[in-house]
Amino acid sequence: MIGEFFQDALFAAIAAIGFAAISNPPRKAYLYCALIAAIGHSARFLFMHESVFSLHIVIATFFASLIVGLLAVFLSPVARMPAETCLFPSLLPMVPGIYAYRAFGALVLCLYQVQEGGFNHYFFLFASNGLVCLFILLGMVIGATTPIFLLKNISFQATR
Amino acid sequence: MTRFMTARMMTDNEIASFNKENTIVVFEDYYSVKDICLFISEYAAWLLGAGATCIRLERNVGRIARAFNCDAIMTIMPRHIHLTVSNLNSLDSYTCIADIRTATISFDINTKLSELSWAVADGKLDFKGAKSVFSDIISTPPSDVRMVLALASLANASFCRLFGGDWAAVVIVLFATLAGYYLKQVLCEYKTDIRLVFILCAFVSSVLGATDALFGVGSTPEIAIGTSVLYLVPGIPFLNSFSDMLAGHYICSFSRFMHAVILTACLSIGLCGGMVMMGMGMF
Amino acid sequence: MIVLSIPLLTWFVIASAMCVLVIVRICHKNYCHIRHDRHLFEIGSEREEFYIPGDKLNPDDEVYDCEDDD
Repeated sequence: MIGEFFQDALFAAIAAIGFAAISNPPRKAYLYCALIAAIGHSARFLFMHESVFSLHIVIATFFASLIVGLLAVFLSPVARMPAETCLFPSLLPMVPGIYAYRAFGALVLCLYQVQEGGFNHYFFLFASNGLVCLFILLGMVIGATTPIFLLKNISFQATR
Repeated sequence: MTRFMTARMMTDNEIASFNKENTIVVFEDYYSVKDICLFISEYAAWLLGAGATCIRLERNVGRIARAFNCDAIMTIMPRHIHLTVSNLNSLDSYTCIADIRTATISFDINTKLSELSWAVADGKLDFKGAKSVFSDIISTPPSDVRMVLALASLANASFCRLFGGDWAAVVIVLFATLAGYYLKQVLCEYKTDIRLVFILCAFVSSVLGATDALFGVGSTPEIAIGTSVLYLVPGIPFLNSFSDMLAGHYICSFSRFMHAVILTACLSIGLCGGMVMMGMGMF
Repeated sequence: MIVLSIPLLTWFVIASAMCVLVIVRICHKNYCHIRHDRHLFEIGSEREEFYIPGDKLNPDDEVYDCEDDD
């Protein structure tokens, strides 16, 4: 499990750097994003693992985002960047992309069903994937922005 | 008697009263509420375009306005900013509506504009200085396209590994993303509609991501095709949307959410097309 | 023997289209780079071919003076 944990952290860091690059961050932000994302994603891995906490993905993501948010708020004055600059790219590896497009795929497949059973099956898939996606996003943003609002003095003065 | 004096940040009323007293005011660096409003609206339009959340936009704009002895109130619409700046010492006010400026998210510009707002608030920059720094900031070039292409492809490949794909799947996803993201850059260069870009790129990436299933290279073909399009998921608009929702900016939140949902729908259309052509199912 | 099926055909079409795109863009970039240095063939304007000393150098400078028409 420890091997898997470190592998999770490593690949989350690479993913954070790559996805951060798409949104044109300042050069100095890459390192912080990679560090925060590695800690956040591996924390979620621990929360979800059967032998540790085995939490549901929404709850696990909320707690992991809380950690990410705290780290971003405390590191942003060091890096002299707004907290979002570190925060949002570090959250990107946790964005539920697969749930999002599966919800749409299921919606399209609903239309192709003539029997009620098939329609119900795909509608169930649409609703469950869509809801999980929405609640992961909500949990992520609540978790990550709570530290920004609680520690307003630090987070909004980072670039001073 | 005629007095000469220099004026800095004077309101029209004050000027009128000076004129009554037979004073000739020499305008050293006089700027009206209109000038300030136009500058702040331009600033806000760029900050919103660079992907800042509404709460940051309000704070930064308020900070700059206070530094110029003004008050700023704005309505943030999806594509426009409606801003009123009023002078705190007089009844002077000016309102303007600005278009948002850049369509690509740039945290670099976001960071620099936030720094500018603090420099103005701390009195390190006057109006002229702020304007010249601002024009420098908005001409910041985007990151090197080849570097972004390489990093995004590596990121998506490592994503495949995170979801439990084997090394064959990782390599396939790397090439699928390279091809898809390259196509995205080329199409964006020609100013193609972003929704069409998403459909085409998702199609190309999913077809190439299905290499695993087609030639039987690895043991996790469904993970390869599933993660090959993840670089297109509009993560920042989704996060900004929920962040605005928590801050109570519901219109902006809803419009950003709709934008992200439409892009995700386009991604799914491309992916479904690719899967149908490759004879694979999503579930 | 590989049987040509729709998935295989699609894969080859997309993969080769992407290769062609990359090659064309690389060649185009290099070709454009050379073209700036020397021109083998070029289409000249009529003014350049039939210039007579005394012609105005810049055709936009022509000012029609209405007073002369009277």
